Amino acid sequence: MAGGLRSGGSARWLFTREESARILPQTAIVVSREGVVTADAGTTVDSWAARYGGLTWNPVAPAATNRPAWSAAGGPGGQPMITGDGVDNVIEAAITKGSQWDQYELGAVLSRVAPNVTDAWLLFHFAGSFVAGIRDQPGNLWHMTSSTTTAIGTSNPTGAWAHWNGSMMAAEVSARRGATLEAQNLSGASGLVSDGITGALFGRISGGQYGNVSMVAAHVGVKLTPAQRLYLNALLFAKTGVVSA
Amino acid sequence: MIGHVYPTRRAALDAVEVIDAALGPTEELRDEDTGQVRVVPRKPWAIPVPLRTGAFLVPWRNERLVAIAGRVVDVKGVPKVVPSLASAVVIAPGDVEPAAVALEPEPQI
Repeated sequence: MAGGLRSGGSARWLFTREESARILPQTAIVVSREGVVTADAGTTVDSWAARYGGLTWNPVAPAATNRPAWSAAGGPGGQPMITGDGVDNVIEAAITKGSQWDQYELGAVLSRVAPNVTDAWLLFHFAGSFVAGIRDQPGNLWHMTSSTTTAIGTSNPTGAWAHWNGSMMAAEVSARRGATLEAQNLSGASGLVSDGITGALFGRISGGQYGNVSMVAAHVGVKLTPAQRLYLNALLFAKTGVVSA
Repeated sequence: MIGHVYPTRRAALDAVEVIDAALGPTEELRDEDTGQVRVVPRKPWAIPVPLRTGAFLVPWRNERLVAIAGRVVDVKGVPKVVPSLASAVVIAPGDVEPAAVALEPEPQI
C-alpha cells in the first residue's frame, strides 16, 4: 500500500517524522511535545505546527485573544497540553500538499474541561474552497454539540484523556469511542474539500462556536485505511501515552 | 466573555488599535522545542466579535490589560485612553452573532 507499512511481527516502528510522512502521506498530526510556539510569557500558544504525517499544517492564532492556553506539564504524564477556553480561542491554517479529499478523518487526544456547554466540543472547522457538488454550501464542520454530551460523558468524563476520531465522506459519518460526529453539507458524492483548505482547532474560523477542551494531539487528513489507523494510533500512544480505542 | 462593546466594527478596530499601542509594537514568541525566543511584531489584540445586536465586542481576555487599563497612549498623534475593566460588560455566548451559522445550516444528528 502507499506509504509502505511494514507487515507482520517484524514491524519496527520508530515514529519519526520521515516514517510518519511515508505511511500517512495525506495526514497532518500535531503533538503538544513538539511544534509549539508560545506567547504572553509562556502562558498561551501562538502556533502549533504539525510535525508528523505528510501534510503541511501549521495552525496559528489570528489575534492575541484567540491564543489557547499553554501548560508545560499539565497533560497526561506531565506532558504539555493546550487548552481552548470555549470562548474565542482558535488556531487555524491552510492544509496543503494535496488535501483534495472526498473522504476525510479527524481526531484529537483530548479531555474536556467543561461539560454541558452548547457546542463546547468543537474541534475542527473547515472553510475555504469547495468542489462541485457542495459548492453552494461553504462550510463543513466536525463538532460535538451539547446534544451529544450524554454519549460522550458516558465514556469520557471531564478530565479523562482519550483519543476521539472519526471519518466522514459524502455518504458516511462514522465515529469511534462513542463520539457522535456531525457532518454538515456532505451532500453529493463528489470531492469534498479542495487543496489549500483552512482547518481550525478549538473553534469555528468565522467565530460563534468554540471548544472548551484540552489537547495533547490532533490529526486531520484523508480517511485512513485500517493499517494506517493502526500506525496512527501507535504513534499517538508513543507521543502522548494515551491509548486509542 | 468579558469585553467592551462598540456600535460599529470601525469603532471596535479603533479600540483594538489603542490597546495595541499601549501594549507596544513587539512581543516575544518562544519556540518550545528549542527555547529560542524571537521578538516579532505584535499581533492585533483581537478581532472584533460581531454580536446579535449589530454591535461589536472587543474581548478583554486576560490580566495583561489590567496593567494598561486607563492609560493614555498616543495613536497617530492623537491621545487615546485604554478602556478600563470597570466599563467592561459580560456577553453571553448566545449574544454572539453566529455569522458562520447563517451560512451553514445547523448540523443534523
